[in-house]
Amino acid sequence: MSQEEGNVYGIIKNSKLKRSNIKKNQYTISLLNEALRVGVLNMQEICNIQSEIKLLLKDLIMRYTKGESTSVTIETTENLLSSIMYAIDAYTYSFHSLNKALEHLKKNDMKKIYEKGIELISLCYEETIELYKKISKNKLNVKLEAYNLTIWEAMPLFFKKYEIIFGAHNTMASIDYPLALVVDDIKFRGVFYINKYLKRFNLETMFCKYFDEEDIEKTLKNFGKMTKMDYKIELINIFELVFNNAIFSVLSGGKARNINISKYQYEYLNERLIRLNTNEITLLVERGSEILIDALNISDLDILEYIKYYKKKFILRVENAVENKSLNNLIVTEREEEFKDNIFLFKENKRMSNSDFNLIVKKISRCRNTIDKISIIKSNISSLNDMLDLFNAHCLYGKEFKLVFDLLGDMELTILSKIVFYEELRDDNRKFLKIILDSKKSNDEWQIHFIEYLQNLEKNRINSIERYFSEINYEEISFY
Amino acid sequence: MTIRNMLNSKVLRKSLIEEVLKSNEKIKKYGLLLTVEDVNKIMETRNRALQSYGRIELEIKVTKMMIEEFSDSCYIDNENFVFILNELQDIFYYFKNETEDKISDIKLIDILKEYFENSCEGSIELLKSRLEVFAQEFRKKNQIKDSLDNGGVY
Repeated sequence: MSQEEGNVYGIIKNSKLKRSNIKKNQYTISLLNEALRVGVLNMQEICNIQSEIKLLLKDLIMRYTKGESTSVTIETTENLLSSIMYAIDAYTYSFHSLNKALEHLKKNDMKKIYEKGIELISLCYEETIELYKKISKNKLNVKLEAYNLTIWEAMPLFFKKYEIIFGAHNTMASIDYPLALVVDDIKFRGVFYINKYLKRFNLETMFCKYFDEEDIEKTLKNFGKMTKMDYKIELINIFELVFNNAIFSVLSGGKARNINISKYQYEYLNERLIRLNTNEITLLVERGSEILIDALNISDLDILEYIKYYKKKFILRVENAVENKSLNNLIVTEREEEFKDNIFLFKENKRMSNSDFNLIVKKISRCRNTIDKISIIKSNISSLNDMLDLFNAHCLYGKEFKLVFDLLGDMELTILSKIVFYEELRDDNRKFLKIILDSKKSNDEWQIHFIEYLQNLEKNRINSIERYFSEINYEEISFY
Repeated sequence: MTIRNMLNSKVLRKSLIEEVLKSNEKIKKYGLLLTVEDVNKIMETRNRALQSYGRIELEIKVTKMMIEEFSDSCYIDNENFVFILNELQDIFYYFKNETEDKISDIKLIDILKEYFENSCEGSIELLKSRLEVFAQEFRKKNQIKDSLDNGGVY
C-alpha cells in the first residue's frame, strides 16, 4: 500500500458504524448503507458510487459480449454485477476495519477499487493453484471416494471453469468431502472459499500423515462396519476419525500413533468416561491432546491451531456420547474380517425400455388372477429398478406384495431393506430385528407391505439379511 | 442500496434522452425530426420491451443505431417514424432472445433493415413472421454447429 493511501486513515475515527449491520456476503453494499445511516456518507455520495458501479457494469457487459451487444439477459447482468461486487468486496474486506474500508470508498473511484479487488482475486487464485498442486502430491492414499474425487475431479474442474472477471463469485465445483471444521461462513464464495477449503484440507491431511496409511484405511473400514455402510462411498471426514481414535488410544494406554482401538480398550474407556462429569471430560481430553501432540512432536502452528478448534467440537461429542451412553458410536473399534469384500449376487440386468415396462404394467393390471401376475413378474422383471418402479405402479394389491417378496432372495431383501430403512441403519445402533419391529408405518404402500413382510420373516433370515448390510451397496449396482 | 435497485436507478435516464435527441442531426436530411415527447415515447417502449424480454441495457446505442439506420427507408416518414421505431425496438429485443444472443446488435439491425426494405416492403407484421422463420433456422444451424463442435453426430 502506498504512503498516499496510508494517509487516508484516521479521517473517519469516531463514526458510529455498527459491525452487526454489516453483511459479510454483501460487505460493501451493507457498509455503504450503514455509512448512510450514521451520516458518514450522504445520499449524493451514495448515488455517485452507484453510478460508478453502473459504469463498471456497462463496461463489463461490453467485454462479456466482446463489444457486439449492448444488452444482455437479466440473469447475465446479475451474474456480472455479482462478480464486480465480489471484487470490490475483496478489496474493502481486506482492510478488516470498517472505517478504513469506508475511507477508501470515499477517496478512490470505484474503478480503482474494482481493479485492486481483481488483483487480490488473481493472487488468491495463483496461491490456491499452488496449494492444490502441493495437496495433490501429498494426499492420503485411501479408498474414500469423496476424498479422492474432490481432489482429482472437483478441484481441477473449478480451476478450469473459474472466471476471475465474469464470474469471480462462483464456486462451481461439487466438493463432497466434508471437513472437520466446515467452511460455512457465507462470505466465502468463489476462489476465497476454495482457498479456505484447501487450506483446511491440507492441515487435516498433514495431521493424518503422522499415522500409518494402512491403519487409516483399516479405521475407515471398521467405521463402515460399525455403521453398516460401505465406507468407500460415505461422506466421512478422515481427520475426525483419526484424531478421535488417537486420543482414545492415548487415554486407554495405547500409543499415540496407534489408532486401532481394541474391544478391551473400548471397555476400559467406556467404564472410565461414563463416570466423569463434563469438566472432568474436558480436562481428560485436554490431557490426551497434550500427550498426543507431544508424542507426535507436532510443531506446525497452523495444525496446532486447527486441533485447538476441533478439540472443542470433539469434547462436546464425547460429552454427548457419555450422556446418551453411545460411546460405541464415537469410538471406532477393531472388527473381525467377517465377510469377503463386496459380494454382489445381483447380475447386471438390462432395464426395460419405458414402452416395454408400460406394456408389462398394463398386462399385470389386466390380470384377474394373482398367480398370473406373479408369473408375468417372474419372467419379465429382472432389474431392481424395474422392480421398484413396479411397486410404485399401482398394479399390485394387498397380499400380492407378499407373493412378490417371496420371489426374492436374501440379497434382494437386503437391498430393499437398505432402501426402506436407510436412515435407521445409518443413524442408530439397534439390531435390525428391533428396527423392523419398532418401525412406524411408511407412506409408500409397497414399503408398508415390505415392513409387514419382514416382521413375519423367520429370525434366521433376518440375521442373514443383517449380515449382508456391510457387504451390499445398491448404489454401486448397475441397474441398467 | 441493493444490487437490484442499483440497476433500476434513474440517474442516467436524462442523459440518455439527450443522447437520442442528438440523432436529429443525422436524420433531418430525410425530413425526419424527433421531439422530446417522441423520444420519451421511444424510451418508454424500449424499457417495456427490455423488461418483458428479461433484458438489461445500460446504454442507448441500439436505439440510436435503429433511428439512424431506418431514417432513409422509403417506407418511413415523419408520421409513422415513432410508431415503426417502437415496433422495431420490440422486434429487436425479442429476436435477441430468440437468436440466443448469438447475433451482434449491428448484424441484427442489418437483418431487420434488409427484410423490412425488401421482402417485407415496410410491413411490420410480415417482418415479424419472416424473422420467426429466420430465428428457427438460425437456431437449427447453431444446434448442428454445437453438436459438431462437441464431436457428436447430429
